[in-house]
Amino acid sequence: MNKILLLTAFLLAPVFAGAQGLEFKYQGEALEDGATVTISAEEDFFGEMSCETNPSDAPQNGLLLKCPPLVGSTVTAELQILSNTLKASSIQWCMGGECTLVGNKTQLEKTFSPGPTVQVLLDATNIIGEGALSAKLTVSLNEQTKTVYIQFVNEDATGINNIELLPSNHNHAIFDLGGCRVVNGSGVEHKAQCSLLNGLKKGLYIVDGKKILRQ
Amino acid sequence: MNKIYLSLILFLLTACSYIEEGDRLIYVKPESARRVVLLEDFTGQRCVNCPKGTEVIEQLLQTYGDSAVIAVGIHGGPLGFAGNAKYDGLATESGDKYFTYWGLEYQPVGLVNRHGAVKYTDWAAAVRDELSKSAPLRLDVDAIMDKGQIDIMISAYGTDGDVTGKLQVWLLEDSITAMQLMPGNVINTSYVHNHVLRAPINGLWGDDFAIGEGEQKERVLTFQPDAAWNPEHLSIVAFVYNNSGVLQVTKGTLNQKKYE
Repeated sequence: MNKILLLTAFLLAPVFAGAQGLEFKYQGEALEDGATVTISAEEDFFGEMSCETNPSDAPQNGLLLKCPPLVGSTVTAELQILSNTLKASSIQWCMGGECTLVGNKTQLEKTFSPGPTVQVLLDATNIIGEGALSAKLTVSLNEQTKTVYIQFVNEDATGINNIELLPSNHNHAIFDLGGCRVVNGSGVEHKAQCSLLNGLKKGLYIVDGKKILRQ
Repeated sequence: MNKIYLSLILFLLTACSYIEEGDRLIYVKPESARRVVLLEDFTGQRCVNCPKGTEVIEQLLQTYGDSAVIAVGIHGGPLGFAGNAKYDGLATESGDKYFTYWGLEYQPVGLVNRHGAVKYTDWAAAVRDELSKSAPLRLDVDAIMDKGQIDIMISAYGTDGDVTGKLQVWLLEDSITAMQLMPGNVINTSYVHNHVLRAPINGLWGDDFAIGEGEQKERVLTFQPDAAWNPEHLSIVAFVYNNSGVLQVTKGTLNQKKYE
């Protein structure tokens, strides 16, 4: 009888261990399945703007995958780039000791033997200008699947991107790059402190939160 | 006594046989050349696994010696760092162009005698395979630094058949202390980079080159290195390659003043 119980426990151990163990953590906090981690660009050690899931080597820093203590198992990880307007010179994904350059690929896979903790390194480096990247990372182990969404954002106010032309029948408040409202919502009312004279000069303006070029 | 003379004459007559004129000279093939292996390590200061590739190179150099395996660290590609106002970088435009040309998709990755991309974990096996082959030519390089200019002499000797391809000459620098991203995303600001490709000396893809079996050729080049590069740590790598890969490679340091 004891042998049967022991055998049953042995067979079920991976199931329970798996159920308890596989999870994503960010900055030491457990993430719910399907949670989103948003990371803003910061100047990295190389002096460039980067978004990194693990910006330092502190053990609990950044995005980690906690795995159950299973021997002989393999983790399958799939990274899907959902959208990417981030102007980064490189995007690198490392998991399980292997790195891959994302390049123009939108779907990448890795299979590896898990340790108790696996670093999820997704780095977008040397970012120039505004943009965002959205990625979905799914890991599978013994029929368990966990997903985390990673969003990289660079809201660089000095970057000038996605310029649109000003429509002729425009009817919204317009601001210049100094933050002065030069046109209100109904016409051509100029604020005294703004330097523009008699209508809009050619140049860049902020309209409804977007940069607009007046030609 | 007459019998002795007669026997001697008969012996001399029978000892020599007639040899056709065309068979009188026997061609002796040059001694085959040992193939030296060129390992091009496409690396980058932002590449967390690249130090692992460097470890493999160090093991290979320990095992076979630096006269059998010649490693070149080509900094470039997406994980290369070209430097900025704050920090020095080792990536070059040439490194980027080589990375792009070979269609490489990850780092570290290597070319072992230019037979396609090889993952760093497979470098040892690829090097071992190449070392077992012979080479169709021998190469030597001598170089001296004189008044800020490097004079280089490449000597080649054909040992097996006719060879056509390109002769490529590169300038390397060892012992450069510069930052490196390490496994685990750790920054190492005092990482020592060796065999770093500083510049191609005779263009990105070298010069046309041809040599026949038993033929000796020499080529002289000059190069003006960047003043910031340490002459004591500079070396020259020369190799001949064609569509079938790298046929032979050699390396020489700058301070060995072998000719005047």
